[in-house]
Formats: sequence, C-alpha cells, structure tokens
Amino acid sequence: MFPSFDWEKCIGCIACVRTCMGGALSYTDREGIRTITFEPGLCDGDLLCLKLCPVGAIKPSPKSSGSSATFPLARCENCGKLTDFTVKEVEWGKERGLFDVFLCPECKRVESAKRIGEGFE
Amino acid sequence: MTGILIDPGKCIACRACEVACEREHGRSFITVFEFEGSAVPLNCRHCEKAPCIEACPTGALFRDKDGAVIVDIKKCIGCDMCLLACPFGIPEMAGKIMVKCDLCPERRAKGKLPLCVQTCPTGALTYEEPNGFSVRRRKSYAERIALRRAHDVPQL
Ligand code: SF4
Ligand code: SF4
Ligand code: SF4
Repeated sequence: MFPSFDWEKCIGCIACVRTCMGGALSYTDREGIRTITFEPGLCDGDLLCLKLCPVGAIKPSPKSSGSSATFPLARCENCGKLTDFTVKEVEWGKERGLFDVFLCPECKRVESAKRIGEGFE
Repeated sequence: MTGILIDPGKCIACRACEVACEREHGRSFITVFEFEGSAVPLNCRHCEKAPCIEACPTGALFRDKDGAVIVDIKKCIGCDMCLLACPFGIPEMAGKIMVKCDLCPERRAKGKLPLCVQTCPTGALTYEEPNGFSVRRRKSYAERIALRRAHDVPQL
C-alpha cells in the first residue's frame, strides 16, 4: 500500500517528511512558503508516515500518484519574525488549546522568563 | 515531581550556570535573561503535565524515574512538534534531533546535583527531589500572591 495525502486536512508539520526513509517525501521552506512533495517512485510503502500524522491526513491506497501542496509560514505574533511553523499548524495549536498567542521560540523564552521574574512560574 | 527551582531574586546574572551546562553537555540548555533590575535563568521546567510529551508523534519524549522529561534520540525525528507545544520555547533542534535540559542524568545516577545547580554561587537554582518541588513552588507562589495582596499590588 502507498500513502495518499489529503492536503486540505494536512497542517504542513512535516512529521511525515522527517520519518520518510527513502526520500519519497520532501519539503522546502522558501520566501515564507513551505512546499511538501510526495514522489511515489521513491516510496517503499512502509507507511511510517501514516502512523505519525497528527491530523490523520494520510490514508493507505493501492495506487499512488505524485502530489504536492504549499503552506504559508506563520509569523511570531510578538516580534513579527517568520517562523518554522505553518499558519495551519498555529491554527491547529490554538484549537487544541496549546497557546492563545503564537510566539516564536525566542519570544516565548523571554516572555516566560519575565513571568518567572515576576513570581508567576 | 522533580526539577530546578528558580529564585530570580538571587540570580546575579554571572552566567556560571550556562558555562557549567556547556561543560556537561557541549552546549548550554540554560539561559540567563536580564531585565531591568532582575535576572532569570531559564531551563526546561520538566512540567508535571508536559505538553511536549503529549505533542510528540513518535513517543520520543518520556519521563525518567526522577521525573525528568527526556528525549529518546533513537525515536526522535526532529519534527518540531514539541517546540510548538512547549509554553517556554525550550526544545532546540540539533540537526535532525531535539535537544534540551535533561537534568544531568549521569550526575544524578551518581547521586550528584545537576551541574548548574552545583555551580550557582548564589543559590538561585535549587534541585528539588520528587515531591518536594511542586509543593515548594506552590508555597512560594502563594506567598507572593499574599504579599501582593498585603501591599495592595494589582494582581497580574
Ligand atoms: S504528518 Fe500529516 S499533517 Fe504533517 S505534513 Fe505530513 S500529511 Fe501533513
Ligand atoms: S520542554 Fe517545555 S513543555 Fe516539555 S517539560 Fe520542558 S518546559 Fe515543559
Ligand atoms: S522533534 Fe523529536 S521529540 Fe520533538 S516532537 Fe518531534 S519526534 Fe518528538
């Protein structure tokens, strides 16, 4: 079986890309846009990606065809810097109650250190 | 619960903890932030209910017997989901794996303190054994709230 991607559901987190051994899945981050590409010729059908996808965007399918999708990257809501997270990942994080305001790692650290300094760890 | 209790009132921003951590790990997983009139050393909080553990899709994050939140580098794929979830911005990517404060497991195995705690000259960092930490943390938090009330400082 091969993976088939529901790019509407996909949040562009690249967990699947990171786990893909043969290089069938790849990504680039360029000018604030992430592009994820599936190249079936390199897929060995182990479906490791399917098990990892946090949103269930990958389904097994007997046939596979190449596909790709693009995702705008999110900016820190404090300093405005472009981050390594997609806008869809940020929305997903907010829906799951992980955070209300999306901060880049640097701003998160400074803000939490400030809170600890004020006695609010 | 275990972890390192930070007392920002005592930190003098000498950065000895950063140097100590770097000596133990090859890079520092504790950072001192300086604000007007105060300094705060920040490392992984080894959260009681750790969002990073819940977010990791590969199960690479686990709690060791002392309660420290540890990365299993054999399972980590470097996907960043833990960093998205961590409220403190702690996980860092080193190539394709995540690295962060591990409370010095080799030292703990020998009954020694994490090296930053051992090194801090002012006692701004204290290592709390399982069960001591959260109790003391809650106590100091409650004391601060009470102080704020007593001095009529607005609650944040
Ligand atoms: S793991 Fe799922 S959500 Fe993440 S990039 Fe792959 S398909 Fe998209
Ligand atoms: S990495 Fe972040 S979320 Fe995980 S235990 Fe440390 S402080 Fe908590
Ligand atoms: S980077 Fe590693 S530890 Fe973090 S969520 Fe991904 S697999 Fe888990």
